[in-house]
Amino acid sequence: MTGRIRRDPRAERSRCLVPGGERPRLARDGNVAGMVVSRRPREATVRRIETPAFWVAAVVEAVDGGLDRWGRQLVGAARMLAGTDGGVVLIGLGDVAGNAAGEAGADRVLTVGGTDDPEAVPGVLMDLLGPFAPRHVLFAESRVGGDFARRVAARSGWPIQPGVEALNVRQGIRPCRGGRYERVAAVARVVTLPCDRVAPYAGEAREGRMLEAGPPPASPSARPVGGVVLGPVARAPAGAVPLSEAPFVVSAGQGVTDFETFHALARALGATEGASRVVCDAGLMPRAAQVGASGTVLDARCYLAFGIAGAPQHLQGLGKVEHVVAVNTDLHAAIIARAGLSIVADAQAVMPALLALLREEGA
Amino acid sequence: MRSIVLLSGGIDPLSGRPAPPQGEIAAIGLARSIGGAAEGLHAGGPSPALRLAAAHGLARVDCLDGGGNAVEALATYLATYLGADPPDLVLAGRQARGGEDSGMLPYLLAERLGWPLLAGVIAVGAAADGWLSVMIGLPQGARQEARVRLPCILVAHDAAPAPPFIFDRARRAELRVVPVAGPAPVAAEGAAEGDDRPYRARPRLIGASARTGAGQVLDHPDIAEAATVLRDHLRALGVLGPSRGASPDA
Repeated sequence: MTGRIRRDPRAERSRCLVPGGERPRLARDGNVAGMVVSRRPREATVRRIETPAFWVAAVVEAVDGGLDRWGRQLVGAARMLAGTDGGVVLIGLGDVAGNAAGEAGADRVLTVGGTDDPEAVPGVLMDLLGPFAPRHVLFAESRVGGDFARRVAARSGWPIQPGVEALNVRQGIRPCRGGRYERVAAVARVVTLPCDRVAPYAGEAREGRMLEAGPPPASPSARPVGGVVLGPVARAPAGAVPLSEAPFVVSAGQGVTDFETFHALARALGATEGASRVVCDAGLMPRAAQVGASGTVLDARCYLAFGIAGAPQHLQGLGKVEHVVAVNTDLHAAIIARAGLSIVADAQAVMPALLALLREEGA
Repeated sequence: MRSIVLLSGGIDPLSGRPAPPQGEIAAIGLARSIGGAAEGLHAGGPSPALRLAAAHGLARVDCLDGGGNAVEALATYLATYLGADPPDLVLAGRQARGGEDSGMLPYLLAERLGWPLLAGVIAVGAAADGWLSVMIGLPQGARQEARVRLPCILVAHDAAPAPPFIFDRARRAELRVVPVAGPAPVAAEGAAEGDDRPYRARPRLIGASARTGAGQVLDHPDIAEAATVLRDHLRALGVLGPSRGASPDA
């Protein structure tokens, strides 16, 4: 046995043809030999960068040990700003797995826990960022990310561009002056991004090398903290969650007449109650429960609609809802087209059956 | 307890007419819920929006004239003009509406004064031993208790209960111009950078919001089967508890 790779003439010939194999491939650069070179099965490659010209940092909240959509978009934006010469360092608030971060476009990963004290955050983050001297630091314009970004910017004096809606290497665009104008400026040192504004990274996976945070140096940015003591987080009982914030909403429309069962079912499901306009007009549900254009626009994860046909004004209230489940007698109702699971049946019959099922389980 | 609410000369985003932002009205509500004196404070000239904000429960709004940039003017005012009777609490909205709209001012002021800052405050409790207990609003209705050392800066949650608008208060509110000593106003760093142009709404990323359309359809199934499918689907989505059907808090 020699180490020489055996030629496969048939495979070489097929590589000179277009994918369907009907005609020869057009080699614009005349490099037919390049096509003919036998290829070993390609391994999944990882782009490594040892000494980047500069760093771009993305501070991302970890969700269940990984990155959510927003987090991947942040790393994608950092990757875009880093270009080919720069490196991306992901600062994970919580545990972030290295390969997930690498696929999202991060070259280095640093995780930091114990950011419970918001007063200590700028010191901790600036100590972590210090060795990298990042050209840009990206945060999510979320409750936590927006707060941390502003604390870091206020402490460091770095210019900040909050809520950037369009971002490229040259400029960031953000609304200002009451949202009636937008400001076009070079990308600032600190940038916060709202969700769904920048595409996540789709290129070759990056290294995502986990780094150990060094011992905290005695930096001049450190300040006496202890002005804030945070207590435990209390998750709201389902009934008390404002409709606009509720994660799970169960809603009644004209197809529901037995509201006793509906209320009992909402309690059993642990869901917040909503209603269509018709039901609110009839006084069967409070006006505050109305979902839709003239009521509440939901930010729920799941919406369960009983006896709702789905008028356009109602569906406007479901714009951000991820999962819609509908129970309706009309197969051609608009909500059936919107729903991930539709049951064409009488809501009045399904509600007690579901309630009985849940009670049976709970007992 | 004495509290001061920071006000901006806000505009309505749709009509461009003077209107206080929701967050500042929420901040006024928090200041009133504590009790004691509450005053408005605005770095800049008197604006009609201040009167409209005062209608939600402020008797007086001090408008600072001079004093360099807004943070310096506010810090100078708090240190010198209120030196004998300093406020315990400074409240602000999440973001102004009508100017830079960056939401940085309370943070810069906290940094300048060295006061603790807490954002997303949805309710304020009692003060004891120089500490104030507050409630922070988290997404999806979750709440977190916190204690913060006085004096402090609180940034109100937009959903904090807003006090009603009372027209008579708007008429009676006193807008007092307070000259503040200090260097000539200079534009804040980075504020002058870039150019402004009319806002253009940009669509969010296509396909980014997980919008499932026309999924599984069960046409007139057996009712018991439909209920089982519903339960299993909700459980798979993770909105229904895995082991027991009825949630304990219901």
